[in-house]
Amino acid sequence: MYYYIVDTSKLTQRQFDRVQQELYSSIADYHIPGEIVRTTGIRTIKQLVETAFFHQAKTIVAVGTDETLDSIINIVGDRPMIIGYIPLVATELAKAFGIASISQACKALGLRRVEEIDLGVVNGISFLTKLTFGLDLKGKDSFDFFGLGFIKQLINKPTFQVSFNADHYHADSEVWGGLIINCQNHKCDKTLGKPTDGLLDVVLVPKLSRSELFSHRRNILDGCFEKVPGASIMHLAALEITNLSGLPLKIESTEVTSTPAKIEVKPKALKMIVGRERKF
Amino acid sequence: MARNDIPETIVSAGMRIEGELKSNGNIRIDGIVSGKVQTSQDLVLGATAQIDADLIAANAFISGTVKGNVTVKNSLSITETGRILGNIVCARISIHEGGVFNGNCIMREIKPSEAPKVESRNLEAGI
Repeated sequence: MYYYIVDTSKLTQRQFDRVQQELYSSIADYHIPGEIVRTTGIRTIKQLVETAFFHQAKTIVAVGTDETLDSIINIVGDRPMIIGYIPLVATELAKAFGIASISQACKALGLRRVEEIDLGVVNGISFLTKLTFGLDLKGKDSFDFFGLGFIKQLINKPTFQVSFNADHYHADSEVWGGLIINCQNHKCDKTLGKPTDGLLDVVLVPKLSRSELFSHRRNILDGCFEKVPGASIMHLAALEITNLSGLPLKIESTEVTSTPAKIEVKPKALKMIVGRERKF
Repeated sequence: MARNDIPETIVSAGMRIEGELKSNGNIRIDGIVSGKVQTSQDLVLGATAQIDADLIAANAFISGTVKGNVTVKNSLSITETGRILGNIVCARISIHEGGVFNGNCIMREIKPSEAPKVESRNLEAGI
């Protein structure tokens, strides 16, 4: 049985009204009926996930945004459950999984192609996409087309020292920020962020000059920091950021923990329904 | 250098690594590394690289400074800014004018199976 958890907390009522009809008709069209529940102020995602287990659901479908999916993955934890995802807004993650639209996602659910996906874990919190530090990209979409306002904001951004222990070495670097990628935005380097390779890709971003910022603004706005000059790139199964300064670590602009932090990949930890057009 | 499916490891100029850096893909180093560097593919040291370590790679292109032994399966190239202070084991070597090498060099023989393939039509044409 499919157990659909519809999370509209990140959508306006108008946005939800627009996609609601498409959602219900696609579920009917692809013959994937199940129980559909919606989060409210008093019915949290956590309560609904526990209800799904109580009802012995075989598949929980996150209906909402990437944050909805991340929340459900964390609440499910190590318990056996197949996860589906119907994005109500266009997201890069949905594109990476080959389920860019509601209709495509429902079709994928109907075909039920289950892939075993790696999960990143930071201080016990799971993440599917990437963990960032020092690179606050919040608000980048609200700036002008060329992203000049956003770039202006970055020019005076200070650097800081980051130290980490990896497999057999210790590394230090003066950076502007960094990313630890499990699953990558499809616009970026195709060899990075494969969620089936059993590795996390670490990208450390140095301070960029004004001209470098301007010429690489598109890569920065797309979050493809591995393409900026002077970026360090490593591929690790586990690392420990040893900074004692309480450096905030974020998933999708939400602070989830701070340093010092142990980060590792849990290979094939998540069973997820993906589309045929997936990018990995 | 041909890019393959295994992503490249890049240690950029502001980075310092102590320990053993291993990879199955290409490695590019512009920073400071002490310990050991090992890859089954190509290793590129930029002009700003300072390595106090033993290096093991399939091919190596040295433009920075290396204090340590270098073991390369195939080809080793020391460019104008490259400096190696240590011993070398390789099959082929090229040192550009200005490149520095202080140490012993052992040239290993390439087995016929490892030799680069020459296209048969070139042989027929006598090229």
